[in-house]
Amino acid sequence: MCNPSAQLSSAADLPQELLGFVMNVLVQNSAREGDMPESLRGLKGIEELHALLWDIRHLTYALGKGDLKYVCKGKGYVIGALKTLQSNLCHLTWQAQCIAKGEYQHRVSFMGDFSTAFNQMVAELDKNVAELMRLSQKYKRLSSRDSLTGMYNRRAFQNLVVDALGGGGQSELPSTIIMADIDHFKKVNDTYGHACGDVVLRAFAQKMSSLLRSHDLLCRYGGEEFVILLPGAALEVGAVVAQRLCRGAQGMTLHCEGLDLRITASFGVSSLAVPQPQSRKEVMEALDSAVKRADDCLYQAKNAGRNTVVCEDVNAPAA
Amino acid sequence: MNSRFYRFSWDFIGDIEDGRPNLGNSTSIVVYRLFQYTLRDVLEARYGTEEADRIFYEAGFLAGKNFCERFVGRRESFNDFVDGVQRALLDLKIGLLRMESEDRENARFTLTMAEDLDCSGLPDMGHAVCTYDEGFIAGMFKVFAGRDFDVKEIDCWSTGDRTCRFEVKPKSAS
Repeated sequence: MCNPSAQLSSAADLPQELLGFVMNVLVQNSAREGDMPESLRGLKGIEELHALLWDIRHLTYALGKGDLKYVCKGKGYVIGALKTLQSNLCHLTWQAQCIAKGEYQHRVSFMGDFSTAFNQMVAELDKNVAELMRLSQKYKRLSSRDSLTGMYNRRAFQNLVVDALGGGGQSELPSTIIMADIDHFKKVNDTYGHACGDVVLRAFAQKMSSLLRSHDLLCRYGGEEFVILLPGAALEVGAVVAQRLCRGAQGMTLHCEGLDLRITASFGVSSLAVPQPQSRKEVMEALDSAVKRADDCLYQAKNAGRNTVVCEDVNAPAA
Repeated sequence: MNSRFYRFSWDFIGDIEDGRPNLGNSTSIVVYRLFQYTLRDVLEARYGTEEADRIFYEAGFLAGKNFCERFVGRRESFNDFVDGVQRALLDLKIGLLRMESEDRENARFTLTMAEDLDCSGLPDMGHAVCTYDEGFIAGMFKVFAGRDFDVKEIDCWSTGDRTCRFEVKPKSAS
């Protein structure tokens, strides 16, 4: 038998109990899921309210910690707004991961001040990375080139030869090394000055380059000496190319300080064979040997009167 | 069917500049939703809810495929594809696409679409309504991946949420 007085006092306390219950979930650290005053059980919709409040509590706590994985089943205005925030943060995480991979086209929209700041950051990042890439390529080029002639320097040449000949394929074919040296270059400098000497060096390098294939390697070895690699070209072919270069140098007319200068050059040709497989060290040793032999031939060309080509297998000057 | 009047092509867009020199290329969302929901009303009354939804999904698939081919194009990477779709949807004011989660190994994704054309601002009706969008997303994924996906809306304004959430998974796994 129910006690009417008890029922009446319970009904009067209900709003207060309900307020306390809601405040407890929203405010108290020590609140526990499932705790509910007995007086509220049985109230229509109380279970849904309980679930919704705890969902909001769990979701806001998770978001506050940066935990974006919490799955919330609740619906409605507040939960919906929180889930939109969660979804936006997930998307931002994904975009940040894309940007970290170098995809700088990503932008964030419709997130107020955050959008502006984030997009500005990405634009700056993109600009800085592009500039760094440009500078890196510029310095890489500068470090591999002779500043006067624009041709490869010795170190870059050696690395390129090793890269070209260190693997299989074409590198298994014999290649040719040509050493070129401008005749009487010291005299040019002494007679006409170093400015003229620089003009001669630049023009000579340009001329040689114009007579070679795109994948041939031309390097300023030092002073007025140049070395050329003809990949995949046998010695006989190399000799023909060297003769063409010799005629090319002979045919040049250079203008400097109001003067017309004619130059000649001498050439030594040797074979470079790199049987596979070879380590980098072995390729370098083969290259050094070929360069030395080409240099010996060049010396012979100088002794033979200059303006000529000497190949290592043919000791007399070539016609 | 041997001859058809309405096989889709972009010719149905026509020359809007020529056709609407005064009213221009824009109209209100009200017009769009009026068209869609009256059409759905008739389809549902005639064929039932399930069939009407299937028709709408198929129409959405056709639209998504054509939309992607025209406004997004072929993309090499998934991230680039998502970026392209986002931009296109934003430019045409269809919605704000967000990538919520991805499982590339299993080809499962969760996308959200805020301010969706079909449903944003709708009251809670107890069921999702963006069936056309489901097909639309499936059509776009088909263009990118060259395979079929099933797309299901799991949250919608009309289910009491404030953004549409779609689950995308390979068709064979559904």
